[in-house]
Order: sequence, then C-alpha cells, then structure tokens
Amino acid sequence: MLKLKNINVSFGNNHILHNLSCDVKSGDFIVILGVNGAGKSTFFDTIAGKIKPKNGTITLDNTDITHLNEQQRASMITRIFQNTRLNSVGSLTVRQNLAIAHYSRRNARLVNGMQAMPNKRAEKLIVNLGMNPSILEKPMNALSGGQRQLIAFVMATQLTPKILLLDEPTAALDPQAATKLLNYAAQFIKQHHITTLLITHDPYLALNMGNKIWILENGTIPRQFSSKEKKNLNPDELIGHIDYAKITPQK
Amino acid sequence: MIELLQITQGIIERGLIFGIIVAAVYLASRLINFDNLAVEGAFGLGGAITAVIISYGINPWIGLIGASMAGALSGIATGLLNTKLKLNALISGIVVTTGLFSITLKIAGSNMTLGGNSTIFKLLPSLLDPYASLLLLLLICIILFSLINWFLKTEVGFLLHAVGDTPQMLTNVGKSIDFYTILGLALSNTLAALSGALFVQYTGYFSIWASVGVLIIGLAGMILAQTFSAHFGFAILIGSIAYQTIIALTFELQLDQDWNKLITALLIILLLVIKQQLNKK
Repeated sequence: MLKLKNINVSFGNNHILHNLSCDVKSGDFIVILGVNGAGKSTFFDTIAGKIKPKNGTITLDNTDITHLNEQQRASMITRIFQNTRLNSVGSLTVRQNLAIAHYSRRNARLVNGMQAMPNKRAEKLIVNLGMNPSILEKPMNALSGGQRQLIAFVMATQLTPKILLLDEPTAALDPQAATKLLNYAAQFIKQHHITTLLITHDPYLALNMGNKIWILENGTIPRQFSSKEKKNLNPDELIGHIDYAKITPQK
Repeated sequence: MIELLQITQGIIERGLIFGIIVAAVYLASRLINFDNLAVEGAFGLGGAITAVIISYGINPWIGLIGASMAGALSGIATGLLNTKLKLNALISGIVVTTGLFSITLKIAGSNMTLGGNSTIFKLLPSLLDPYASLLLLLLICIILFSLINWFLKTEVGFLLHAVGDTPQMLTNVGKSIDFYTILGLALSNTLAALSGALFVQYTGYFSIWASVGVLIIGLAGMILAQTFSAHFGFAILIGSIAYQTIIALTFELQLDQDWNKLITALLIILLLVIKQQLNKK
C-alpha cells in the first residue's frame, strides 16, 4: 500500500501540494482529474521521487521511501510520461529498448546487451501488441507516437512494478492510437493486478477505466469517488465536481 | 613513385594515430552528447606521461597503459565537475584542459626528446620494414575499434547510448545518469591520451604545443567520417585519414603552413553546410 501523509511541496512562494494525504490500496486503479496547475504532475513527481517534499512522509508497503531518490524508487515505481520521447531511447531499436527495460533492479553487465531479450521473446511481445515483428529492428525514432507509447507501456511493465504511474499517456496520441493503448493497458493492469494511478483530463476515460476517481485541486484531494459512487456518475456530473476557478499558479 | 608511397604511408599512419582522438571526440559528442573539450588536455597529458616513462627506460607498452590511465582520470575529473559541481559541459572541459596544461608542463616540461630509448615502433623486427609502423598502428586500431564496438553493444554500452539520447531512461531503469556520463568521459579521454602517447612514440619527441589544436583535428575527422557512416566504426579511421590527406595536400601545394588552421576551419564549415543542404533534401 502507498501512503502519503501531510505532503507539502512548494517552489519559492508557489505552494503546489498542500498537506496532501492519501492512501492507495494494493490493486487500486485510481484515475486522477484536475485542472491545469492543480498539482497533478507534481503529485506524480513526488511519488516517483523526482521532487522531495518540504515535509511529510511517503511509505510503500510500510517502508518509508520519503528519502529515496527517483533512481532508487525506480525498482518499485515506474512511470510513463506524456512526452513519448522520455519513455524510450530514440536512437536504439525497439528490441534494444525492450532489453534495456530488463536492466532494472540489477547492475548492467559487460555482456551482449541483447542477452536479456532473446529474439523469440521480443517477437512474442510485439505480436501481442498487434504489430509486425519487423518493427523490432527499427529505431524508436522511426515509430509513430502511438507505437512508441505502446512499447513504452510494455517496457514499463516488463518487470512488474509495485506502482505504475501513467501521466496522461494518451495526450499526444490520435484517438485511434489512444484507444488501442488504453485497451491494452487496462487489460494488462487487470490481469497482473498492478496498482496504478492515471492522470487524465478526459471524464469519459475516468469513468471507464479504474476503480476510483480522485479530484486534485489546489494541491489537495478534496473529492474521492469509490467504485460504487463512480457508477452513478455521468461525464457532465463528474466535470461539475472539478472547480475550474481554482487554479494554482504554475511553477 | 617511391616518394609518393612514403607520403601515402605517412598520411595513413598519422590518420590512424589521430583516428583514435576522432573516436574520443565521437564517443563524447555523438554517444553521450557531451562537447568534451578536455580531449585536448588529455592528448598532451598522455604524450607527457609516455615520454617520461620511456625516458626512464621502462617498457614503452607500459608508457601507453600509464598514459591511458591518466587520460581516464582526466575524464573522471571532467565528469565530476559537470555532474557534481554542475559546471556546464564546455566549462568543465576548458577548465580541465587548462589545468592539464600546467600538469603536463610539470611532468615533461615543454619539450622532451625520447632519444635512443625504446618505443613500441623500435621494438618491431626489421623484417617488416619499411611497413612495420603502419602494420603495428593498423593492428592497434583494429583491436581497439573492435573492442569499442563490442563494448557499445553490451548492456553498459546501451546505457551509454541512453545517457546521450534520453537521460530520463537511465532513471526509469534505476541507473545513475552521473555515473554513465563520467564513464563515457573517462572512455573518451582514455582514447585521447592513448592517441597522444602513440603520437609521441611515433615522432620520438614530446612537445606541449603538439596538443594545441588537436580537438579541431578530432572534430574535422569526425565530420568527415560521418559523411561515410553515422555509426561508430572504421569510418572514423577513414575520416581521419581523409583529413590528413587534405593537410598533406596543402604541403604538396606548398601553401604557407600558417594557413593550416584556417583551412581546417573552412573545411569544417564547408562540410557542415553540405551536410545541412543534404539533410534538407
């Protein structure tokens, strides 16, 4: 279980997260909504260890991880960024990228870099995504944004993480590519019971994915909807719960 | 005819020696995306250390190893300035090269002749003359470039690609961006120092001024090499030899050698402009 207690994050005089406390239970799939500047990305940065909170504690499975940096938390928490370029190495091939995903949680060795990703295994992964195996030898830069994000999802989940952070992963994709990624991700997350947090602006997506919805506003989480409450909401009602007047200044 | 053959052999030999510094520039600027100006200082340092080791009558191969190790340390220093003290890449390189100039002077003075002391070229059997130096340099380059090629395809090598392309990916897989930046710079400066050490053993003479402008030789060689191939490989040696050929032509055309640096500068501009135009098409 991931627990954040009294977390405060500020940049100069801009207070982004205000005494934020929340519990993420094992197996939860929580969709986070909020206006721009509400602190959603800072919330993820804090969980991932990119930003150190001014005060407060973060525990994962009863272990205090507050003082671990992003690199140290990477073995437990993986993240997929909205910017497709941050999720893979553009100049390396798809297969090389899939291999790199396996270097997590151990030291990199002076052995053939592909040893971690035999051809047959790589082909199986790509076929499961509905792609042609010939894509494996293409550099990531040559792929479309949708293909890159799909492969980024596979990379992030190669070694099952304790927490998966999806930071608007479909924001830069066309609707068709976004649907393909979300369908694949939803099925995979459910099948492997991965505790997931997803940031989105899309109320339809929020209602269709995950088991809980949180509204992030002014650096706090004033409203949470359980699985049961979620079923009684429609997109307009959900949007009605987001206060668009409350926007924290950008960092 | 014999004279032409000798000139060609000299061009290839110098091309191979400077090909190693082209590799140093390539690894820093193309692989880890770090404009490493410290290669110039490392080249001089490598030359000075090998000259001093040889002057003590120690095996010249130890001279190459000692020079390479000192080069690695200078790369680590450059990396630490950049990653720990947060100096930008250019400043880190300039500071290290400036500092190394004094250190190099203290090690070997401004000039040092190797005299009758043994070098790796003098150890060769006379049976191979007059091609002994060429064959030895070729062998060294083939082994060295094959080793680097293998290294770049290992897990560590993939992560070096990542640090230059998408540093966030290292964090994503729990690896230190700082460590891999320092490793890349250590590798780059090791090669630069090795190139300097080979140059001193080849010419039989160390001069602190030989290292001045070496960076531009590396840069010009790399740009020429990239017209053959964008990847690391033997194209780097071809680029370096091509550059040495151009410089040799200026000798043959009896141009005032004071213009050499300007010719190099114009050559780099020309190649970059041609490359830009080709990319547009």
